[in-house]
Amino acid sequence: MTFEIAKVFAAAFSALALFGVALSMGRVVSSGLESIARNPSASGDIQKFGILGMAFTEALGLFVLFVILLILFAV
Amino acid sequence: MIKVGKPMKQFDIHELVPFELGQFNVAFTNSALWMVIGILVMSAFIFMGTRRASVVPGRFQAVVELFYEFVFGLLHAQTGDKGLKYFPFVFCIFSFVLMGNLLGLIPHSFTYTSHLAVTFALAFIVIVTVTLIGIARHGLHFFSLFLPSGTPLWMAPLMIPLEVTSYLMRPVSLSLRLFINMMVGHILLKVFAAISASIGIAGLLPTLVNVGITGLELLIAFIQAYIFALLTSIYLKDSIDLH
Repeated sequence: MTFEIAKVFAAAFSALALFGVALSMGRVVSSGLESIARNPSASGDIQKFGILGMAFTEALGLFVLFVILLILFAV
Repeated sequence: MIKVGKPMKQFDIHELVPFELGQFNVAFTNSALWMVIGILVMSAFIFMGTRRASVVPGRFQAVVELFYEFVFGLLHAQTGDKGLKYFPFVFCIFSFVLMGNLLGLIPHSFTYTSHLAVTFALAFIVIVTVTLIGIARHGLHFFSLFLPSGTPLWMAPLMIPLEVTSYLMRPVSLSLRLFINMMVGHILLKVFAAISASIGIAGLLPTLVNVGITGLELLIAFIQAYIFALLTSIYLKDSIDLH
């Protein structure tokens, strides 16, 4: 296997990390929805923290993309 | 034929006014130009809003006050009254990052927060300031930050390297988060626009989606600036109150 092919494989398999990111993002949304259903009057605060949590979780996925770009173009 | 175009070209830095200082190249670049524009726009926004300041604010002044109180509430919720001394610092960081993110959404402009050099410099300023504040307030006692109170002593050899590492990783994650979000958002916009432009009349619907993505980018631009300022004030709280 040449170096170029190995690089592409490494980049492709790094995308597996998105599995965890997707799971955690789903957890943020589902627990947010559940808590709004339990206590609708607190929905404003929950929405705020939900969006914040989504942004933090999304950043993890983007870190993966950063690593992939490094593997493809910088190594 | 679908063309993706050159999505990375928008991040190129050109020298507008070449200038060399010794062996260092300190040219005035388009990145610097947009930083100046950002600061001017922000200053104009605040000065114009408060020029004829009155107790009952007009429309413009109300917007400026909303902006000010937003950052004030953000800092006050984290640090309480003790942290208000550092409010100008957090306000400057927030408005600089926000201007970078928002001005980048103007077509043909340049997003200076999409460069790791800029965001890391900002994060470095934050972390050095926070550390200095902590040392100035607590002296050597500041280093108890690395051993949370209530930890059993036999855990110390494990906890201290962990806490030190996480402390040193703060500027990295802080800068990477902003940089990556901005870069990826702009690549996404560019690729999607290039694809929908290259498929002709069928690209009408994808163009509408692109409008939606631009709206999403507007939200992300704001949220990332908010998160940057929020984490800055959380770090400030850590070094003001320790654990």
